[in-house]
Amino acid sequence: MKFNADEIASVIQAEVEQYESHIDVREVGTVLEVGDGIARVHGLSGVMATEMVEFPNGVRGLAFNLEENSVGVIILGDYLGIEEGQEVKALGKLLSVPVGDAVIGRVLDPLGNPLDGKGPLNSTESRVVEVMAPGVAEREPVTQPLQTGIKAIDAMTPIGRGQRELIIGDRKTGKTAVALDAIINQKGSGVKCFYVAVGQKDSSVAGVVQVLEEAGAMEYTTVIVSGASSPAPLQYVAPYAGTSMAEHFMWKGEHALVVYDDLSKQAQAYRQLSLLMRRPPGREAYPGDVFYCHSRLLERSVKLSSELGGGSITSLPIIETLEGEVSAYIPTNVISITDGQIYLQPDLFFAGIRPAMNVGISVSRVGGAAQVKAMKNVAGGLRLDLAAFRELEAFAQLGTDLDAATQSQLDRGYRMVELLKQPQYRPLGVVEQIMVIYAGTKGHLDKVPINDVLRWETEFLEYIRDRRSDVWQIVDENKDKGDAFKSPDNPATQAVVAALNEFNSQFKSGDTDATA
Amino acid sequence: MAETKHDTVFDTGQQYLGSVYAKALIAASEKAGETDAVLEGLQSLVDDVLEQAPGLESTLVSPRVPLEAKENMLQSALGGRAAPTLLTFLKVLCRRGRFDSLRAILRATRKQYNELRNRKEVHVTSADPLTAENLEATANRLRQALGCDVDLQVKIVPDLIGGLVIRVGDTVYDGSLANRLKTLRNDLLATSSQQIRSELDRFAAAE
Repeated sequence: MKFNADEIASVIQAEVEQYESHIDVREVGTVLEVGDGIARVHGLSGVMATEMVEFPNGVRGLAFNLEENSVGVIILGDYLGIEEGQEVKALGKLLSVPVGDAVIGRVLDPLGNPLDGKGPLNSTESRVVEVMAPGVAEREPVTQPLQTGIKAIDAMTPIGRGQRELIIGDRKTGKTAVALDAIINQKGSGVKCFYVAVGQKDSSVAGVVQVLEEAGAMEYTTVIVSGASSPAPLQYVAPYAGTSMAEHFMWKGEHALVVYDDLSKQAQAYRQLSLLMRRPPGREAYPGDVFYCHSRLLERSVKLSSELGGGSITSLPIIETLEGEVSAYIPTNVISITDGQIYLQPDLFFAGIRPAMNVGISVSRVGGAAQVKAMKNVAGGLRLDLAAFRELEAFAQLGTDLDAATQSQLDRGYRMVELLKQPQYRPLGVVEQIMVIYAGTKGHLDKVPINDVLRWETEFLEYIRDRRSDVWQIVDENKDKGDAFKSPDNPATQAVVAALNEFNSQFKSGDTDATA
Repeated sequence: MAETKHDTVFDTGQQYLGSVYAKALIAASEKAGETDAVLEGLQSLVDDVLEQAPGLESTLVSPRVPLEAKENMLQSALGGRAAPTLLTFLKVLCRRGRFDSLRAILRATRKQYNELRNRKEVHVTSADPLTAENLEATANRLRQALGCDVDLQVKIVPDLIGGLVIRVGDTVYDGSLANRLKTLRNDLLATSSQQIRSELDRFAAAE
């Protein structure tokens, strides 16, 4: 395509003719010292806390520390081009990021600049990064479920829209995988997803983006990246920026899911800034307000009242622990802020139980109210049953002879554990989950060998999809009714039991290759 | 201090020290009625002597040079030329070993003296040297606008191309041609790229 130079010239001419020169008034200061992502500035006497400032090379900063003789500025960008003696201009504005439909499907840095090479962001709206969370009167209890598509989570630690559910565990225990499955499962549900990568390797983030693209999840997802190589101020700001983008949709009455991967890195970035700013270090050298840093972020995950449109932000913060140490400073902080946690354990992970969720100490404090009714009825006793099974299992290892009742309880427990395993990036619909868990808890799997449980599940779901979609329909219609699956004569129960019996009669056990 | 690019100190201790000595110097020179001469002498000592001959400053600061030698040096160099209060003050500085804070003291003195006379320090930057009339007109306008007397500090920066940049405290009033060109350029880029993005067809040439 060729451009018409005359037309461009006419636009420029019109602009020049309209140009009114007026004297530029600005509040300034002088850079005293600069380094490690922060600058100390003399002057700027009228600057306000967290006001934006601009350096001569166009890099922005935030007034972070207001001291008697100088202002501590955190530099949001490349600080290597900034020199001592340069003029710093106060902009009289707060940091804001572009929001709206234009950000969906994009990979952005915390300031909203595109990183994916798909051209500039055509966004006309923007939103302030640091906003106070909505107050008590503006909220509503969390009642709508947010399906993660992971059987173990939806059954035992259900997440509601507007809830904050922490995902905590050592490195390499599948924390990101749980969050990604939750994002992938939002396809078609209208929930906008935001994946905030803080201090991650750029290669892992590239992997995440690829997974989301392959699953078709980038159509409703925004990835906000401040990688391990970006300066600490950007890592510190990234979660707030992602939340702002999500809030835009929340205030429009839509639902959003934000994943912060991970907040321990953000705390470390904040610690670095605070120490460089000479704020006094506290426990583990974190500054005194590191709790506030996380609490004000997570308070912004809200279910708005119906007068305000009923939008919500659900957040899945991730915390990485060291050697399972949940009583370290940052993990305890975030555990106390969130409405529950999903605890992932390396020994379960290596025993092949994936997702490696420790059912005993994972909780959801909102949980039940936000669970699909039918699922609540089906999975109500599952947590306790599994806990009892764990105890029995430990006891059975002593090699004592067991009576028939105990043995059958053990057998069912083994099958349940097997049934709750789920491959990565394969979230299940809620109806499928209900049917499978019903089968497991009611003993319809007791005759299936343990090795065959996963194959049984796949084949059963295939069978329902291909031949008995009427059963699927019945369960789907009844899933929000309070009495679904409560009694044997419930229509949903009858349909599922009939389908199970039919399928079990033709299921051939022992076909599974033991090595598979 | 001489190697930094800005005229402020990072050392808050020295800044505080400067303000204490400045208070004393102003009080003493007000009593003698020669504050203007003292201030001018101090400024010229820093600008014309110490900046030109850095060796002199290190001699006066050095603890290895005996006090009498320093005092004799000051007496012979400035005696009769500088205001008596200034000479005495400099000798006091040598005796107390505070000669290294001279620049902080000068800044603080300027500031306090302006406050005392209800004047504001105004930095005027221009592209070309200003004529006396221009300077007077600028000062008059500033006096009207600020409602107090002004202490004009003029600097010539040819990069401004034209116009004036006036700085009062931390506020800068930028009417320079360079800045106007810069904003024009930014506005042009923003509006043209936005128009091209929104109605691409208009700009496409017929092939």
